[in-house]
Amino acid sequence: MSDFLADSVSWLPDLLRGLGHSLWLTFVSLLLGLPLGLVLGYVTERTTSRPLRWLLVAVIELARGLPALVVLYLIYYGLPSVEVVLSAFWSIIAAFTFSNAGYVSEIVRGAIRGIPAGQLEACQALGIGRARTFASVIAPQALRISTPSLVGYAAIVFQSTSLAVAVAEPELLNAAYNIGSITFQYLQVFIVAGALYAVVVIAASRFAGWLATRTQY
Amino acid sequence: MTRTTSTKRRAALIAVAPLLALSISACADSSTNTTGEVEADCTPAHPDLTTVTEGTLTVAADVSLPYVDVDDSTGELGGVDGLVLNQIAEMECLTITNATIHGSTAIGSVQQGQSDLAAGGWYWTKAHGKVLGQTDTVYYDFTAVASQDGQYSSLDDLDGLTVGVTQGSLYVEELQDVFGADNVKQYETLTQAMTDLTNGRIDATIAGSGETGYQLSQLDGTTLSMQPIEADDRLEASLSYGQVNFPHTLGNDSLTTALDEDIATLREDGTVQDALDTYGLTDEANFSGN
Repeated sequence: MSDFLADSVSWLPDLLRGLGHSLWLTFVSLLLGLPLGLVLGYVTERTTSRPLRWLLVAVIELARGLPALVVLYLIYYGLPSVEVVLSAFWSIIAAFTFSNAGYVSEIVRGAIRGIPAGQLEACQALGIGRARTFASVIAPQALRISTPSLVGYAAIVFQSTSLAVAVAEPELLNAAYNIGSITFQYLQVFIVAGALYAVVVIAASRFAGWLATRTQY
Repeated sequence: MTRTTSTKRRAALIAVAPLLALSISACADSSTNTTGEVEADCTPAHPDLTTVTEGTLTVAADVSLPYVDVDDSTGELGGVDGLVLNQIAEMECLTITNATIHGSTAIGSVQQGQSDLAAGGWYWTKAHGKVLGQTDTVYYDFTAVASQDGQYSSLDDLDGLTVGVTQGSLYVEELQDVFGADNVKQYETLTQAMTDLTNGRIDATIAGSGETGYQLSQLDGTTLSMQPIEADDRLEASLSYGQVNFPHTLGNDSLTTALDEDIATLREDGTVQDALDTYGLTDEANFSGN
């Protein structure tokens, strides 16, 4: 047991560096994916153009239907064949942003549907324009409704960053692999890595739960 | 991180490690072959040899040419390690059961007692010695740099560039010290590193000469080529050769003794040299380590 603790402590600097990179991947992919998802969700929900709606629904379904790892491989290994070579980092960000946008748009669409239709009708009756209705009435409420779900989703995105090991990005799982491949103490090192993932995810889940109670109508 | 001062080629990782034991079973069941016939009057070189399954040598085959291959049609082991193991099995009147198990999972399989030994160009390392038995050296592998037109051969050449290595290789820590961690990219397999080298994401790979040579031979029309790395005090592997051996069950002394003595016999009678020649490891250093 003392060996395990001593080893764990010696691995922590490498694992924490990996954890930091995982969090950075999560942050950047959400930073790009959230606004894209918000726009996708809102436009899909509110557009009166059927072809546009079908197109956006198709994009959303594709983003949700394709496993993130497949998208990542398409970008990382597939695009170089057409002379587009992205670094591992930007390949991951592109893949996760695409997936995030799809899932976030669904969360946002659900939130928008949760806003009583009477409010929109009231805005229309008062002659308030669409943009202002979205900015002043829809968006604040949709955000409030969807925030707990989005925080929960962010935790899932954080877990998904472990997929980045497939393209040798130095995130947490990769750091654990590297340690395991040298020490062959896979069980121990993955227990420590798993604990680090769990700490972040449990904290995020608790935060999401707390937010849910604070944002209930 | 536990510091290792000895050598280790790689530990390619496929399975989800926390579920290692479960995945080992799954892998072993999915691609297991039993080959070889034992004559009724066969006399084993080491009668007291015990194996996981009586009468058979169970090999966790980390398929990676030129070290190990498994023939799709016959299920027989090939590669340098495979040819040597076939001979050892014959000497010990054993059949061979081989399961294609990749990287760390192969080592896990030995640790779990499901395989007698792992084959796949494994280097002797201190870290392995803590959890596995290690045999005497079967043959040697030297360190090579692959790059466009083989333009790099020394650490000084690679200063400021991005170098790809396989996870767990002995080079990692020393190279990180020399180039900085950001310039040393670790890959699960050398194939992945070669793909990135081809696509220009990295500038060079550093790996064993055998595997590097084999990988390059698989790339049609490539402009990549390899050079032996120049000796440099900052990289221990450039000063000595990787000692390829068979990591096996820790504490099975009868297996250690049998393998060591059989390896000595096969090195003496030319079997190991023939196996090296068959797979293109024709440099004298691959046999002698000098």
